[in-house]
Amino acid sequence: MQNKIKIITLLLILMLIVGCWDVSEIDRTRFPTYITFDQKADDVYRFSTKIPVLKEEAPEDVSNFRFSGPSFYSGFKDLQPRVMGKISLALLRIAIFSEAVAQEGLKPHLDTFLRDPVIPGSTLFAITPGRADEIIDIEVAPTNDIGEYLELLFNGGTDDLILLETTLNDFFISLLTTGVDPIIPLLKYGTDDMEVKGAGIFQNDRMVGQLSEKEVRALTLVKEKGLKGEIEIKVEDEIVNYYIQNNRAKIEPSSKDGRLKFQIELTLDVDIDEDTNFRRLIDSPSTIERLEEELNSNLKREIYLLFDTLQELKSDPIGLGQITRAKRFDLFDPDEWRQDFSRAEIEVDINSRIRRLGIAT
Amino acid sequence: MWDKIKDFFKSNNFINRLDLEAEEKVSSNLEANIDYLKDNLAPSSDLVFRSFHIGQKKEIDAEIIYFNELINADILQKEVLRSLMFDLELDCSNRTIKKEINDTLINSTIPIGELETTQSLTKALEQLLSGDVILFIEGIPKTFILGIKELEKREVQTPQIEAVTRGPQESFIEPLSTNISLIRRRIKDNNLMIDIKQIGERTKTDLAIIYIDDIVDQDIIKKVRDRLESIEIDGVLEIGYINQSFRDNWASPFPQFQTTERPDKALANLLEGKVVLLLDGSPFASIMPTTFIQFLQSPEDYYDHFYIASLLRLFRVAATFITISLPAIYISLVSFHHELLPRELALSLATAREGVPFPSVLEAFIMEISLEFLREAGIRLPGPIGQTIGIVGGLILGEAAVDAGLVSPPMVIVVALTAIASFVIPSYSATIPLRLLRFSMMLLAAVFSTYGLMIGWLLILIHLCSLESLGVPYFAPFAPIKLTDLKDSFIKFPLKFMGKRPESTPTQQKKRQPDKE
Repeated sequence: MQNKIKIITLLLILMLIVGCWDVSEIDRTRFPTYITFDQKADDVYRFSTKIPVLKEEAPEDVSNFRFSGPSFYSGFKDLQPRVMGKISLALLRIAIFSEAVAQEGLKPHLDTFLRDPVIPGSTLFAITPGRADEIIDIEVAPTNDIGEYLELLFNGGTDDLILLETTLNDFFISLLTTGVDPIIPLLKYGTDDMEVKGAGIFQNDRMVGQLSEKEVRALTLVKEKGLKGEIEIKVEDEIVNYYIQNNRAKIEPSSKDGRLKFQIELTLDVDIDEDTNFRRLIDSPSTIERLEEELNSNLKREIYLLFDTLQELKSDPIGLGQITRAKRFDLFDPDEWRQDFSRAEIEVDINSRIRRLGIAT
Repeated sequence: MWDKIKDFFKSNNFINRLDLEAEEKVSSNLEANIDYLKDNLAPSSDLVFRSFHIGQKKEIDAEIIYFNELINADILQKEVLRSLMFDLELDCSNRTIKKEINDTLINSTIPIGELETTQSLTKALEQLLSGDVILFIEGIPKTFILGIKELEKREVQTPQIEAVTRGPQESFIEPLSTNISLIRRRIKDNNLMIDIKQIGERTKTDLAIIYIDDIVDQDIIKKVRDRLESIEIDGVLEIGYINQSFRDNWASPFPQFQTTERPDKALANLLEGKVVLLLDGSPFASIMPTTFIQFLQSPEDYYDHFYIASLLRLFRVAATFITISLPAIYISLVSFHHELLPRELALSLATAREGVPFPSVLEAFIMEISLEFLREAGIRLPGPIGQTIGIVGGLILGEAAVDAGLVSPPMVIVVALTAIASFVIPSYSATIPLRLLRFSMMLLAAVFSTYGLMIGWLLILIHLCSLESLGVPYFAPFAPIKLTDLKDSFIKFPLKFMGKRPESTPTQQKKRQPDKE
């Protein structure tokens, strides 16, 4: 009996000690909100980050850190002794890669991201054309925390059509799924502001080219469903602002003369937010029809231009390969997909319908 | 091992037992009867032996014995002694005197309702101890038991623990007779059975077993009687003694029987085929068998619209979860799993905890224990002071602790929310095990974080599923699943859909109302 009591007591004490192994009190933990990745120099990659300072009486709100290493984790490990408290990537908001790093391939840098379960799957990705570590010096007006600023920049945007969002989860899903390539938004910065402008397109984990804002808009209209956002078009030298209330895209793969053909049908419900030609506010069927036709032809042109770029760069961020595999498995050859995609015939049909012209008082 | 512990307690006479004495018969000799009582009763200043002569000719000796603090002296003097001493006319030469006295006393002399006779001295002694007056008459081998007891009691008051905004505002009080009347006047059913037994070798406390004979399952009644028979105890001071002796699982922290101070709740359970026990001297009724979900049900659920009742039920379920888990969740998130917190909240918590010298688990234990102190202090202190202590403790002490940097503001919010949630649960007896489990969960969370929480909840659910109350599954209607009973569980259906009695408790009549032809 005494032995049993001893064993139970020891187990209880051991149980309490177990808790101490993993414990990491939140106030003793430091949370970087963003990390930048820059190209190799002297055989090491360069990284930078900002860590919020929790003490209210501290002279600075955030601490800036630059660190380097042959890989992300090596550099991150070296950063730990320089920081008061245990660094945790649990609250990471955004990872920004320089264009050079993206062109080299993101897989080596993202291995830690895939392995560490505390890194949120909602962490945003962005590519910047210049040096990523210069972002640390940008002083944006609302906050010193660039991570918070960037997250709000992405999530708070009203124009969903050009503001592409790619998270860690999205990136890995695209990377590991046959028949779809990743796409990451491009982040451009000045001295005191930043802007999301266009996107980088990939073949597997390597960036192979860029899309303009209009191309991104065309891509999101074809790829996503239920979008909302503004489209501005010049009609007879007057500006018309359409507001997309809803979109539905139907993509049908088929084969024609030995090559793939994609029939893309896009249906849009739109409002008119602005028309500088005042007369068009009059609710006449012919005017509405005209505005619908203008929108259709403009968008059709943009989508064809988008496919010209994608087919030239042999990158498929829309996931046409995935659609072909699902709908016409006989036409999908995973080994020859990029070649097949680049030669595919694209036919676009847009059917927009103006729902509201605005309320005149 | 537990059997050994039980044997150990039994063998050491932790429960006092009285040896049952052989039943004595009343003698025709008055002196012999009086001697028997004097031998078996400890000399007590409130015990009165009053000798007198019966009849106007004063030829027959009699003795009346009572405890003067337990009886109505006015009735004794005016209606009993006066009648016997002055009003009774007897012809002592008549051979049929014994029969005449017997009949006359019962039929025409003593004008009181509760009058019975017995030949057993043992029973006479018991009745004397219960507060009845006993009368011996020379030459008659019988005792007259006069029920003129008058006990001090308080008025029927509003329920203190199970207060409701809508519904009857009466609660049980200590005397059994009043409590029985509170039930009986609500139900005019000839099948209502009230069976009174005495329990406690020394206290011989009256215990009423109440049920509706054509609804209740006879197996349940048998179990109740068997368990009552098996109770060996010297005194029963409160219905809790019975509940503890009755438990199917004595080690479980969960109450296996409901206690209520509300007559309407007791009656509602009687109509569902349950048994209600009332103990003299206890203002609480015990309801058995019971299921866990009943602790989350309030009488006003049945008086209000079903939308409101269902919403309140869901709140109570949430409150149960919060009462057990919230501090543990806080500990596991703050000490281990920061990634599960929204970013803004995590940074806000980290900032708030900056400077607190204790780890979150210690902080939580300090606050929870302080709260339990406050709760206990509030109960012990008189009403107004108790409230003051609550305010002083809750507001001032909490704020001072935050200002001093001993605890973080979020911890105060967590503890306050937990305390408030525990008061949402209608049954006070059900909140006590939840408070106990909260500490276990906090410890599990501090050691194993969210895994600990999951393990804790699994253990609780396994335990609840394995419990029984008088053979009825405690976690019904969820385990075993009883689909028809789910309409009165987390949500409450309208009354029109509740034509059948709950299946969880076996009953003789499944339907509340027979079909109309």
